Amino acid sequence: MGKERNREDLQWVQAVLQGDTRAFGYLADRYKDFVYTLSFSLLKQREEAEDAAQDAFVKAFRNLSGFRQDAKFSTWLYRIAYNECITRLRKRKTTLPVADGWDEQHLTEKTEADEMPWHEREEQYRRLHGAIGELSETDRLLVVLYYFERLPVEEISAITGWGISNVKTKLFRVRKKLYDKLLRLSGEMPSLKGENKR
Amino acid sequence: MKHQENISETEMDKQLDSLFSSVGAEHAPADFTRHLMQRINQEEASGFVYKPVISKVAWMVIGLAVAAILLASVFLFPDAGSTPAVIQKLTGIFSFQFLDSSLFHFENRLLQFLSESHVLLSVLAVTAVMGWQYLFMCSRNTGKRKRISGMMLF
Repeated sequence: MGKERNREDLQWVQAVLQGDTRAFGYLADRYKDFVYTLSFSLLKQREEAEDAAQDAFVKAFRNLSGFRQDAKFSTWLYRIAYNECITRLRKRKTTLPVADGWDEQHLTEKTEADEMPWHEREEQYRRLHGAIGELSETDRLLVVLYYFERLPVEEISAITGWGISNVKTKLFRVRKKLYDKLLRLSGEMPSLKGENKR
Repeated sequence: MKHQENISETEMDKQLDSLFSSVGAEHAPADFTRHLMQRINQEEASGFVYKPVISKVAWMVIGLAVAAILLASVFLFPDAGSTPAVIQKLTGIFSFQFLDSSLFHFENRLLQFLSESHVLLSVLAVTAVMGWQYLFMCSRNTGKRKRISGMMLF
């Protein structure tokens, strides 16, 4: 599945390099949610996250000729998005608190799919993103890459530039940190529905 | 999911994984791709393309020529009085003097050559051109293309 997906990505990249700009739209559709999630987790503001995600895709388009096609396109794109977010964070003078802009549409879709009461869904969302928001930039990045996007440690290492053992060590620490924060916020881990996809 | 004393890392990971699955990742706005492609198409349609006035290959040739002249002046004409007529004509292009060479006594032919006014003028010219190029690179990196002359050197 992963290899097939990467093969398709490379085909679209080739099409763009040969002049078919529309092919880039397929790549954007495939990865927009992830890039947006990554941006939002780091920047904590929806509008800025959207701007950062757009800028990341535009940079990827401009530099597509420099993409080494022996690597995964997704890893390369995520690296660009991460660098874009870090640049924006460095330019900020103050640290923002967790944005209170939870996504109504997103929660509506999830609630209808899982038959979970709206208020429970909202509570879960707030608690989780509240805990994530208290983490450092590095920890938030790890959480997004590992838990939201379900990337293997090797790919996280390629995106961040950290060694594999370093990623594992950081994951161990952030897992404990996040778990403790969630306990502090709720007293116990919130009840769940949904499958464990790992 | 309940709090457990001395919970194992595996169990912790499992609980967190379930929670994240339940909440789910964010979704980009519905018109994200449309806006992105509009932006890309606008850039493509603008048609303003920077092309170098002097290509990288040309710069390499210029650099090699300058290096060859310097090496030739040091090794082929060690005696200052034996400068060939061709080189005298070339250096005569810039006949004005920035420095009074009588003030300086250069034992080394290379240093004497470098102190010549035409060499200094060339260095100034290259520095000015590279500074101009730097201005263009700065403006390009901020996303604002300043249409000063459309000239780019690299």
